[in-house]
Amino acid sequence: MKFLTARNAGLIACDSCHLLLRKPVPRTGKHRCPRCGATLHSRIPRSLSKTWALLIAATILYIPANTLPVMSVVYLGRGEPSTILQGVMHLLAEGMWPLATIVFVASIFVPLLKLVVLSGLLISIRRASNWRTLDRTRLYRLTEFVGRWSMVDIFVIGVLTALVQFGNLASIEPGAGALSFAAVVVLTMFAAHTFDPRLLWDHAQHD
Amino acid sequence: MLRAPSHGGIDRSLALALTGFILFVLANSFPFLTLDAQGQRLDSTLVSSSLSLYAWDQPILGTLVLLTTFVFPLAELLGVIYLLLPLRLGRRPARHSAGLARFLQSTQPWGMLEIFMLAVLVAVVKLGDIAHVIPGLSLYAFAALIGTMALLSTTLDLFDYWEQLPWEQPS
Repeated sequence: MKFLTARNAGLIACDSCHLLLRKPVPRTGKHRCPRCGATLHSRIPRSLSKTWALLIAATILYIPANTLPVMSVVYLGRGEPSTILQGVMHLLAEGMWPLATIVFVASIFVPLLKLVVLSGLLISIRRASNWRTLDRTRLYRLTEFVGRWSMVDIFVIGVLTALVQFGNLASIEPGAGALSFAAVVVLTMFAAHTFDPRLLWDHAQHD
Repeated sequence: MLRAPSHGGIDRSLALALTGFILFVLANSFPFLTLDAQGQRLDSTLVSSSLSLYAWDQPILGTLVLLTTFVFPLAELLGVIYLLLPLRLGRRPARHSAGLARFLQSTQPWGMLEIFMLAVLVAVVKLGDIAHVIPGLSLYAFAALIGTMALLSTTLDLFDYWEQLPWEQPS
């Protein structure tokens, strides 16, 4: 037996204000929530293709984000560029391993985790999998929750470039990798947003 | 997570949003961090981290930082006040406020003040061996602001607002 979903029961909940409505009969055109005006849809339209597109773009940008320097410390005219990983190494060398761990997890591990987990979830939906649906839903919530924290390195670049401006003596400037890195964070956040976790349950069966 | 609409949350959310707004103004009015290196002193404010990115010819990054650390948090604080104040005074919800409420809901993950705080910590540690960093008055207001906004996000329940919104069953 399948789970009873709102879709099967002929009901539709507003994504925005959670008003529960009987499904409008005509299936063409956009329906708006009579209370808050949001567009009604029982599943995000073309959720899978949108999420794939964002994920593929993010995966491509993940490479320059990690290989190009995200900032360089210019001291007496000589620049010393550093990538994200080198920034983590620098914190480790300072003996700040708790902070180094946080930055490593937020900047390197979490983006990779999001790319892998979201791709895996998309494939599982494609294959109409009913394997541990609750755990897959939890995995989705986790990636959605932690994704924002990858922005920390972008803010570090902002704070450092604003603070260290001693003219020709010393300055810190943003590097070419910074934009790619920010793009990875933003694109994966959008990907998590366009992914509709309700799709996971459309193939779920009772034990 | 399932949650029932919490009545009485309006007072608390409104109080937190007003507190947050005052702290937001304070956090943006005074120096945030001061750098002291061999007698040379450099002040920075909260928004200067996005402005410096514009100055380094990174307008996209600058806009991203400005939106996530200034525009969206401010919009959330002011928006909550605009949505909840009429309800607190026993009036009908303000006009055209449904669109605002939807905007606040969709932009909520993009307010990133707490992540910015972690970044400040990392930056201070990285600068530790180069220069002396002096915390500014804003930093304390900013820390209090993050606590206030965290409390606000746990007590704020737009259900209170949605329930007051008049609507008609479509025929």
